[in-house]
Amino acid sequence: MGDHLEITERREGAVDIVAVKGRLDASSSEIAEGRINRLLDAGGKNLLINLCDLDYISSSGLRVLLAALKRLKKDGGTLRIACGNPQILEVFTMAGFHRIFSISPDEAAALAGFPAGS
Amino acid sequence: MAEFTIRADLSALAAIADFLAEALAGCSDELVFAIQLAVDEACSNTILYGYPGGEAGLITITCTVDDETVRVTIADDGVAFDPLTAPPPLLDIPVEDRPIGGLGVHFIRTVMDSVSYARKDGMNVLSMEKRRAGSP
Repeated sequence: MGDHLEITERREGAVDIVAVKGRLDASSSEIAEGRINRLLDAGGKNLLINLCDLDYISSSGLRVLLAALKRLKKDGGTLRIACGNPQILEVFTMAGFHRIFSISPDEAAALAGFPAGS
Repeated sequence: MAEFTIRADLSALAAIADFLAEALAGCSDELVFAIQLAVDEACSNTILYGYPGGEAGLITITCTVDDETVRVTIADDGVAFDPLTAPPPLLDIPVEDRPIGGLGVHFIRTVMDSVSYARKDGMNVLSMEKRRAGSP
């Protein structure tokens, strides 16, 4: 499972950046959820999820992002998404997620959206 | 007509996407993505919930495409389940209140032009059609 998913993590200041590449479907979403939860368990409050190189997302992938958003909102944190792929964005729109997520077209723009000093 | 049969396991999802990309060669990227999404959501449901406590069965996908329409049928031997009875999700409520889940069938209905379910000979059969862009 998860052969078609690649996740890389790095940190810029106080922002944890998680880049997710490949397919985020029912077979791989649990792996992504585990990686994100580990960062949040470690106290991460500023999370940037980069989906610019994601090829595919299903409702299972959206579920992981929604769970992270709910958790961060509860803890007073911030989640921003970077994604310029029109097909992925269309899936967000179909779910109504374009209204509840902060989505920027690339990572630099998403990073600039975090509060100063974070 | 292209046909593909695979064991109902989560690792099948990527192979199903590859099968559809091949069957729909020459179609637009948008069309291929839409069909892959609808089929992936339907098959994910079958794989996750169709074989409770038992050994996974088989899913057979057939795909035909002509100048006007893409037609896909998904047949499985899991427990009888009509996904089209799922209530539509609430898309306009605050994030704190959004239930986790319930979106897959909504996606299928949104991207396809028609979807129908039948239980035939002990199989769930989901039939879907999507008109190609530019066709009437």
